[in-house]
Amino acid sequence: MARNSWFKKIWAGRSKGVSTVIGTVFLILIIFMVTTNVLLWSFLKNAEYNRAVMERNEEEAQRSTEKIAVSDVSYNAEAGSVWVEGIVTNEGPVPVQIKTLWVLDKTTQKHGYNDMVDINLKAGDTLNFTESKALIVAIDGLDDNSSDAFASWFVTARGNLIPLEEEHKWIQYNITNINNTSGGYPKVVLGALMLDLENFRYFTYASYDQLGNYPSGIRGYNAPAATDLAFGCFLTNVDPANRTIVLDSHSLMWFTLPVSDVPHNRWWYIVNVADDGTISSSYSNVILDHGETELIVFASAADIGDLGFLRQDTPKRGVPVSVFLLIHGTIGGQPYGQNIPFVSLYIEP
Amino acid sequence: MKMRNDSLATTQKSHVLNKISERTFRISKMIFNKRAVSNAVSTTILAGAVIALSLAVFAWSESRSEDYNQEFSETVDAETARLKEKLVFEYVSYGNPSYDIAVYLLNCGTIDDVEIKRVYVANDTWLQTCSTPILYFLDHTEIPDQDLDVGEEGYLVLTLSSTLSSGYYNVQVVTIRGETFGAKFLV
Repeated sequence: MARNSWFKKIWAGRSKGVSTVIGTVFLILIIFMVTTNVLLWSFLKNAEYNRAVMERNEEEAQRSTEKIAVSDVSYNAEAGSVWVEGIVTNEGPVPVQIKTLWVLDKTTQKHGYNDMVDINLKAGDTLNFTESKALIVAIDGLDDNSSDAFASWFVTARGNLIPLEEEHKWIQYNITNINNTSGGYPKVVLGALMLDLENFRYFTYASYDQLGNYPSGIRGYNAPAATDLAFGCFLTNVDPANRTIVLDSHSLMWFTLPVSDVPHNRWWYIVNVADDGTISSSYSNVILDHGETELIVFASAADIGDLGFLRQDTPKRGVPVSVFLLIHGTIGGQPYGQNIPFVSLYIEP
Repeated sequence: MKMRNDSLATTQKSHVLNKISERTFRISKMIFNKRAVSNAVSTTILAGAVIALSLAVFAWSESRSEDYNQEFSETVDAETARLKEKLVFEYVSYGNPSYDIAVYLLNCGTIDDVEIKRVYVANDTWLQTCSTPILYFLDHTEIPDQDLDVGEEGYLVLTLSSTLSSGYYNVQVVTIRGETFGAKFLV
């Protein structure tokens, strides 16, 4: 109808505005189509991007909820390989796939991996990889029955690294000792050293430089006053990084005496003692390998490395004293120093 | 009666003649009236021109919006792909046996073909760059397509210009898609 009227208008010679109308209609159509096209496309692509962001966030959430516990870990070295044993439990809410086991020989800094592990654990599942199911990792140059220290970790498919913690004997000891109804002192771990509070002892002298009752000594927390004595305690290297601790001649046992407003002190420097109780006139560093326990004897009034051996006597009257261990030397080749509050003694008059 | 019929016929004839003469007049007017013809033609031409121009503008607008859509799509697709990339450093080894750095990687993202463009090793005072390092599988064979697909593990070796002094170092891996992943290691 409209078209007919346009033709009639044209026919009748009244065609003013027809082109304007056509142009306007086209303009509106163009604007509508172009904007619709662009907007719809933008919405589509934005939706795609938002979906990718959501998926990424979900993956991150799942990655962060992975929780794997590995217990009873032990390492057995064979020539060129290490057998890793333990128990792995999926304590998280999501299934976990373990792809790879890495082992680092901390002594030689050589590493190895087993990328054929492929352990799949549903939530709550536990898997023992012990004895014949132990995971084997090849490490170049590893000796048979090597005593090297190892660190290891699992890699999950979601990209989490799960460290495997070796079961430490001293932790077992502590738990056992705490549960021991017959009494006894738990051992105390401070830093890299474990202190045996129960077996603290002192020694008397048979001659100027020979301990009379070495190594058994007299166990207890009372010591006679004004007497030349030496003291002994058991220290264990429990460094979590499995490093060796070396004690130099500046290590000592330090007494503080609460006798006046001026601090009073006594100190006994570390010494080397032969099996017969003879104190060496020189000092060679005491070396504590990881996991090793050793009876450390403090006997000299002076640093043996500087002045040689000099006997030291206890305070002259009855007084309680606090005993500290001032440990000096190296750990893993790096400088090391630690001041450890140890036991308390009563000096009997 | 006859007269009446004659009169009717005469009237009809005159009506037809009138019609013919009117049509003839119109045709002659159309033929000879130049003003009316030029108006119709010009209107048609103007309308045609407007339509043609509109179509041209429409085609151009469509082309531009397609270009824009294409560009927008490429940008969004690239960003989406980058978002899906995730590399994890399984281990960074230095100095064993030679003074090179071996970087062990796992593609735990959701997109294949993660290519390494550049690797940076640096500390506070020192920086070394390595472009397009060679990727190897963990069994030491070279990865043919030089990328890590989803779930694939591989490593690359960086040859250093000098030995590293002790301390912490950062290693950063930049992928072709522009994502960056980093880790620290201790020498």
